[in-house]
Amino acid sequence: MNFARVVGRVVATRRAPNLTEPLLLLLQPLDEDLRDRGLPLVAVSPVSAAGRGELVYYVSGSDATGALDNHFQPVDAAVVGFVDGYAGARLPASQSPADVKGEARGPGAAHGTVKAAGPSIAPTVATPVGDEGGD
Amino acid sequence: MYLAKVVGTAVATQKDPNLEGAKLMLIQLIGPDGTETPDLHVAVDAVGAGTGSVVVVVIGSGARLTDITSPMPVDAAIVGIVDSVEMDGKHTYSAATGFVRAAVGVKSAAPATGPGAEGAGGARARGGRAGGGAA
Amino acid sequence: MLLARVRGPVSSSVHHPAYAGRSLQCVVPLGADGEREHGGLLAVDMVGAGRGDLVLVGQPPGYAAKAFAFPDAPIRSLILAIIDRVEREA
Repeated sequence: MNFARVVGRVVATRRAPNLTEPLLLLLQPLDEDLRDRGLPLVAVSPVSAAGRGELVYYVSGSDATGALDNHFQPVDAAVVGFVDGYAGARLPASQSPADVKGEARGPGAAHGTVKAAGPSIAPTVATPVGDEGGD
Repeated sequence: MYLAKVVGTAVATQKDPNLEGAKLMLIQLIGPDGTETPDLHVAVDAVGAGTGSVVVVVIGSGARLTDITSPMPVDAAIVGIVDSVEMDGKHTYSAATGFVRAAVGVKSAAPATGPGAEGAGGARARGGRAGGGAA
Repeated sequence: MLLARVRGPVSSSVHHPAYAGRSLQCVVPLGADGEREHGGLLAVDMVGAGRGDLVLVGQPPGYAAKAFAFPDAPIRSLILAIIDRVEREA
């Protein structure tokens, strides 16, 4: 699933007959710091109507059809929730996480530091570019 | 499926119960000539591969179609150990002698998950216990 | 599956019923060099991970539906394990 900001709506009256979901939203996908990532996409929104500017999350792929009452629709993205809060976004000005409250994009005050626990996965010695095997 | 090199292992004691007994292998996707991509995945070993092996990896729903992985919540499985690779009529790899020629790493070859185009050429792989078991 | 770092939890009061009572975390997958991170995503936490943990994230088709007894749950990504240790070839 991914973060996204609702940026608009799409109207399409001519559709595949079994695409019956009424509301098609235009979403801007966001990364872990709530910055734009990739092109806007179109998603169905069975969760109660999201307004422009709201922070939501959506599921993509075949799992999206499970969000609809009628599963048999040609859909690959569906809004599955609204974000109330997220404390993991890092602002460009500082590398501390910031609280994000409610539906607005704007971050709140920076607070705390990320616990850098857990093992590293980097190799201890640089991996060779490739083997020159015998021919 | 993808060609990959096994570059390590991961250990986890706190995990979904259906992962009990899973051999978690770190794999790096490669091109047919051994070119390394930046894509690092974790796949469950279903054939007895070791670190350093060149293997065939299935990513997606097919990963659960082995006896070992059918009960597991996995989306990637090692399903073959590669004996040799031929591309455009040329021999590019054999298990005994390694890659014939390797270039510097290229951009990501595959999506993080989901189906993708299979590599060009053929890879004759010693198959593991693939097949059998319900998804 | 991917190795990823946990950024933190996402709270959400309005959501699809399949997400009721589920812990949702933002995670950032790691690249082959172990340093370069790319493409944060959201995953339902099956194991109680904390911010900063190194975790195993996967998209096993149909597993969430079975685990939560919720047919056709629109849940794609799951945190499946907390990684204790990684052993990497030199």
